[in-house]
Amino acid sequence: MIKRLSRRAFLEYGAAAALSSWPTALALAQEAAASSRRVRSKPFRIYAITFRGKTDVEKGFEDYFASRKVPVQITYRDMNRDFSRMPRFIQEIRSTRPDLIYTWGTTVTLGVVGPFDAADQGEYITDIPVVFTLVASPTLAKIVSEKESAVKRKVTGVVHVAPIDAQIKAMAAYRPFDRLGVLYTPTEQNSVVVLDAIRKLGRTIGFDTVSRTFRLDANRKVTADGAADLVRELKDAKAQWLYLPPDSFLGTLAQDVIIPTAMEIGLPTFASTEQLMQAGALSGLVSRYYSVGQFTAHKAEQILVDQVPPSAIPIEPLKRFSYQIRMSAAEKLHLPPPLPMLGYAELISDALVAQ
Amino acid sequence: MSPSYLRSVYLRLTGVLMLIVLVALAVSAYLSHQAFERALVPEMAKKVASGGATVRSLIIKAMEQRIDFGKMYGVEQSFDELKESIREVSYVALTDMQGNIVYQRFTQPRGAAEYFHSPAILAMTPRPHASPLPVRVGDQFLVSMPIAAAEKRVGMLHIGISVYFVDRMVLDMLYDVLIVLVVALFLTLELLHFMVGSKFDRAFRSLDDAFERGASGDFTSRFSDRTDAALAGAHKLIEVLRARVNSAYGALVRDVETLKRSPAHERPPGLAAAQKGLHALGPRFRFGVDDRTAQKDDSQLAKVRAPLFIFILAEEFTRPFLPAYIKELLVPVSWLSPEIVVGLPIALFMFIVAIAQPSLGRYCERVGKRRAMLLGAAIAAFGFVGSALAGSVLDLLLWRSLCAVGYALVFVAGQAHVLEHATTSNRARSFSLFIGAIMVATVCGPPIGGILADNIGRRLTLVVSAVLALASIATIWQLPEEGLADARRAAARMPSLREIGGLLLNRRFMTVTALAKFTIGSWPHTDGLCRRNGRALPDRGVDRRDARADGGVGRRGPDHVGPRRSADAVRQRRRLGIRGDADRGRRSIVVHFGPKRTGTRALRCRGRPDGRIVGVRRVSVDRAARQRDRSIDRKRTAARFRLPSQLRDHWNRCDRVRLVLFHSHTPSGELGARPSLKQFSKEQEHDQTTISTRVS
Repeated sequence: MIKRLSRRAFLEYGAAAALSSWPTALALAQEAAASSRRVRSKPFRIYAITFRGKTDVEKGFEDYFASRKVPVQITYRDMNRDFSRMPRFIQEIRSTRPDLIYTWGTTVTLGVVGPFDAADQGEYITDIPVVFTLVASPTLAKIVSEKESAVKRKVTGVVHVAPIDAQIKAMAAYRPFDRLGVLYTPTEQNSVVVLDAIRKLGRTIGFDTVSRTFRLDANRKVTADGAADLVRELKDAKAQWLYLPPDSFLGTLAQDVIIPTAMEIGLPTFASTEQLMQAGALSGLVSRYYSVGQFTAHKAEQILVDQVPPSAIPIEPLKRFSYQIRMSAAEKLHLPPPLPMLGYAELISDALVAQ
Repeated sequence: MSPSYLRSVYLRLTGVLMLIVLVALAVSAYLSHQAFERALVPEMAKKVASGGATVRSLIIKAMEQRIDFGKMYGVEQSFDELKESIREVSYVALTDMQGNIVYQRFTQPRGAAEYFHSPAILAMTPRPHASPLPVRVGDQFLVSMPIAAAEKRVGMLHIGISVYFVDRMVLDMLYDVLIVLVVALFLTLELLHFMVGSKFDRAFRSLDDAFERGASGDFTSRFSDRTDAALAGAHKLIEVLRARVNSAYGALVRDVETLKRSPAHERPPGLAAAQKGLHALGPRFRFGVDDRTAQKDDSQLAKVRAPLFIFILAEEFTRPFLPAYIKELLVPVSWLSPEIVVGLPIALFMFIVAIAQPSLGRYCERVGKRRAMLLGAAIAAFGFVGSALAGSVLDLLLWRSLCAVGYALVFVAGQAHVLEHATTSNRARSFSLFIGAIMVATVCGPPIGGILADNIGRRLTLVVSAVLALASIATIWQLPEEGLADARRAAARMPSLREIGGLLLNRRFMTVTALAKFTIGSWPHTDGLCRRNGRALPDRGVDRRDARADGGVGRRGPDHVGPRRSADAVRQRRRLGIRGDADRGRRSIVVHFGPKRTGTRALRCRGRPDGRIVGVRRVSVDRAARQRDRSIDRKRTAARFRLPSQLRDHWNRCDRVRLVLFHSHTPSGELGARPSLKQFSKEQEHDQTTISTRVS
């Protein structure tokens, strides 16, 4: 009897022990699997293409992997604003077959993955996951389709522009306005759509929008000629702010032509990207490039380590933006920031621009 | 000594207490205003200063950014934000080193400009961290803070607080005090009722009863009458009077009997007359000793109020803090969201109370109400202790379930107790007593529970609830032991699915249930029946129409015709000259028929002690008349019907009976002779006379 009882007791204990240790065992197994993926003998190979050399984005990108102890080997290629280099990069990607491709900006991204509705997908990379960064509007650029039913591409990434209504509110918080001036490139679909959104918002909130487009030359190519005059025209049209959309061409002229002209005629400028902010704009609601880089790396980690399909990772902006104010510009324009804004805005001195 | 007199005493008592409450409120308002002003103004100054520090730091930051003091932008916006965070702020100003106002917002108090220029303020400016002291300027207290960056002194920030903020705070607090006082008022009334009220009530009632009995010619003496200290004198007097009348009557009866037995020649000449007179006394007056078995003990009813109140109070204590307590004990349940887990113990409690009531009703019929209440209170007390010691929400679920079972048990048993001790006429009033106890507990419980939880903690408040539940056990102990099972009550049984289905399909019931949700939620209703959570009480079979008719017409004369088909019935009754009398003493009903009694064939008796149909009989009048004594006079015929045995058992509890007489008539319209009973049942809808009569 005793023997039987003890055997039963033994069995019960055994079962109990097995049951109680089950979740622990499971967790351990998962952890082991995760660590085996993480502690790889070979680092993940990332092929990164930048548009105009390395920026804070890449710094954030690298630092994220370092802090998460994910071994990566990043091969940088700089397009240096020259699109003709793209085929060489594609060639190299095909021959080296990296684990992931990192693309900086709309132009580079489109060069690698092509528009989703392109007739010939052969000249683009479709079989290697791509993580883009600093793309203002991936749907407008046709990197991905808006439609749910669209073909799932191996593409995800980070949008760096704050929602347009947040930007407009931020501008009005600095100084209220009735008329907003926008300067943009007519051939950049991205800018056209932003302008439409601003006009629509103006109708609901109650402000007018005046816009000027960069001129086109005989080949219908956008030209910098008369850009300064366009800024003056906007001032004459009684615009109280000059909004600088995430426009690539405008970005190239901002620091040398557009912002100096605006400062000269006393027109405050509002930047949509950190790049434009660095070009000397008065204020802007922007994503910090470093944070954008970290967020991009987070998405890359999900693809590389957690094996999540890129199409299942949302394409999104950061949750928080920084409100930047250039104090030198404020002083020059005699537009001191509102007192409450001093509590939360990031005040930039010109020393930062120089770097 | 009518109930209205008692009510007026209560109203006066309530009025006095209300007056005391109001005076207390006024005094507390005055005193707290004084105390608040002394204690709160420096506190408020500190609060305002901390808000002002934010504004000051922004201004200093602006100075550091080389923004000119006079050219700052959005300063008023900062002032607005300050007011938003501290709503007592009624003025904000920024002055320069000379005391000139550079920026200001809201209402400037009178004399502010002079104050800003006063030497004391200007002297204060250079000191960077001077502690802000509120200074009364006009109708505001001003807190002044110097603004000084490391190497640059710029000016002063002045923040004003209206002196009326103290008034507002006192007013806010007065509402709280008012609630506490109202709760105290209710509690006091409940205690008064418990200690004095029921005793007085009983004393007055028994006196009232004594007078009524005297007036109706009932001189029987009752030895069991309690002598309450308050009215003992009056009772004694009445009892002495009764004893005299009874002894005189006894002597008279004895004398007459003695004389009757004596030889004829010795009998005095007036003996026959005296005997006749004695007989005549019989129907009019009653003498002797009353066994009193028939009397309801009304005082038993009131006894249930205190335990119910205390017990429900214990449960109501937990209401305000239970959700927070559950959150405190929350453990993640993988397949449930935290919100649902928080709601779970509360939902489970309600569910158990709703589900358990029918089966517990049956249980408490079996073991007795007192024992069921004792058990319920004990289970709940155990549940409260468990809840107080709960380690996680999961075991709390178990403890709360115990509380729910206890609650349902006490509730059902309390209801059954009230039902048992209520008569048809006072059922609504009895239930108002039951509901009253619950209502007062519901009003008083949550605030007291909340205050207790704030002060001694949630777990200890649950312990207090357990102690209260134990205290209710002590009071339940005072309830009377029940006698034998009450035969008049059919044994309660679980409602069948068919009955439940019928209830669900009953449009009236569902409408009332649905509307109850919109009116006062799940409060118990009293309408002769009592419902809680849409469930009728266990006394099934109550003819509600009758209950209403009786409740309303209980004191009308005999021969009252029930509301149904009343016009027809009255006409018929008049035509036939039918009158009915119920005789309590002889346990029979006398039906007086007019000359046209022929054809009145059947009598269906429907007696309703306490609203319960106890007997349905069909008797042929002819046959009955043959068997019982009938002719009373030549023109009018009367038949005395002994009550059906089933009805007779409950005769003493019966205060009204309703008779349904069925008549037959020939096709010519005349009342026919001797139709069969079968025919009656076919024609009964046309030819019935209803007599509702009070049992005398």
